[in-house]
Amino acid sequence: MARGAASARDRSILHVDLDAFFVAVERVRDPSLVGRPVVVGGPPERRGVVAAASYEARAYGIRSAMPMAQAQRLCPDLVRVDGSHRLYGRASRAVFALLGAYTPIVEKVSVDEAYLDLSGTGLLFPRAVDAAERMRREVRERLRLDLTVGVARNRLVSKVASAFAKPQGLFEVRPGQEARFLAPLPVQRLPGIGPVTTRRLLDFRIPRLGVLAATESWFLEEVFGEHGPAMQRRARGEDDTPVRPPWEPHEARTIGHEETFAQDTEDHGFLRAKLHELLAAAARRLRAQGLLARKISVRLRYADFVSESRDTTLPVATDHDGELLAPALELLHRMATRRTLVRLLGVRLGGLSRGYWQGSLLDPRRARERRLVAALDGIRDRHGMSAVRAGETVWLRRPSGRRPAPA
Amino acid sequence: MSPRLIEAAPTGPAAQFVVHEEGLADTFFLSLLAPAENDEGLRHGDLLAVSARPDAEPGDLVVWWLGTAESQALARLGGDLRLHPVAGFPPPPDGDAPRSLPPGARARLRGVVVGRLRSAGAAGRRAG
Repeated sequence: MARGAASARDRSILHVDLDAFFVAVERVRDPSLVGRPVVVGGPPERRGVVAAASYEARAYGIRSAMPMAQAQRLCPDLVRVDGSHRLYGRASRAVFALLGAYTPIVEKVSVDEAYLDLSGTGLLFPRAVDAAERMRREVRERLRLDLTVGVARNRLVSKVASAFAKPQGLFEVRPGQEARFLAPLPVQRLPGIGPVTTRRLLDFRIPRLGVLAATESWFLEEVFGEHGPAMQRRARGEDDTPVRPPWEPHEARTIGHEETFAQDTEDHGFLRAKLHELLAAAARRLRAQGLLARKISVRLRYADFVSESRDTTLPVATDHDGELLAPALELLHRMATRRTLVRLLGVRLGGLSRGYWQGSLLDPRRARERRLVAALDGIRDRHGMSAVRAGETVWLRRPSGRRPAPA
Repeated sequence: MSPRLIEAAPTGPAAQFVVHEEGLADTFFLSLLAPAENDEGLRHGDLLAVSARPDAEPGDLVVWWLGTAESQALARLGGDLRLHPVAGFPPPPDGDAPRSLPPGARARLRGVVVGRLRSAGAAGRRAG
């Protein structure tokens, strides 16, 4: 059956997720780590954070993105491994090569997570759940890695299902039972419902997806705008998002960069320069993918781990550093109200659409800027991001990490 | 050995299904004890997630019982709104109920099977 020919009722979608992937790969490399609380991440003296934690480490309350120093305080016997992304990449490719034998329609969403569309493979695998079972066994036997699988009629429900099968499990949602399956779950379990929406739903006494599914759609539209009815359809388990195979270009929904500083800072000049640097990197990725952004979001995390973010929408979508920088700096300026050291700065570009910046045809200065940006991208492609830097950011790479004193 | 369903409490994230709030759908889990894989593709050790909502529709896999845990069984609700036996479970009693059942015993719907959880060790196991 051709892809897309399967109706929504006939689809078989798998969400596969490798359990504690980085740690699992480290344990294949060094079996003495099996059964011990292990984390992958940088050392505490370099302000490293936990990139992955074994289930034994999670039992101590250790979570991803936690500062390593805090993780080590929670578990004095914690084993820390630096990690090798090259090795994880190789392991990931081996897993997905194996999964690709079941269907060519595999959409890899990260190094350890993917969606597979098994629709139309009924002759080979009469039951998707049996194919999933075989996948788990093969990955375990050949690569010594554990796979958790969610099986359902669509992506959304397969993703929720796999979350409930962790670790090393398989959860199949029976076709037609999507709404009943989701009904008892807290609203925040639905992908796309974040803390802010959760709080608003709870304010309206909508704690569970079954209640959200049964709420009058006009009311949800009144409160949440066009997202309300869409959110309700998802709460009923309705989702027709296709699984995109590797040969279809995957468009990012946002593009961002962030950095945790070696030392907390309150130097606004440093933050401005760093924002310029992060934004230049993000804008270059936009251009490389032929995308334009309309939204900019700037995020700060302070030394006390309070986070703050602001965003703005541009009048016209752009991929030009100069047009993105001014509103980003304005956001940073508006956020700089706390008298607390800053630990992390990030920038994210959203509202992406396909296209190339043209500027004004009547403004020759803009055309020159465009050629300049293209030339800079060419140099950076060949020699790296630091080969050419904006004047404001040059001093960021000084060994002292300090701005030069004014002349 | 005949297949059986026994009450089970899931651990880990799946425990979030089990809620007891008034007016909300309650989901519970039953563990399947079965001698072999059956026509529904269900295996020994599968944890069945069952929604206690009483609104089963034709085609749904349902759990019926006579009010006791020992009497629980799987069936499929047919287009004729009758319960048809599946997976090696006995048919529900009707007007010609087996003599072993109390007089007047009637099958009641306990819930609709919405999914199944199969953990690492459960795959392919058989009841002894």
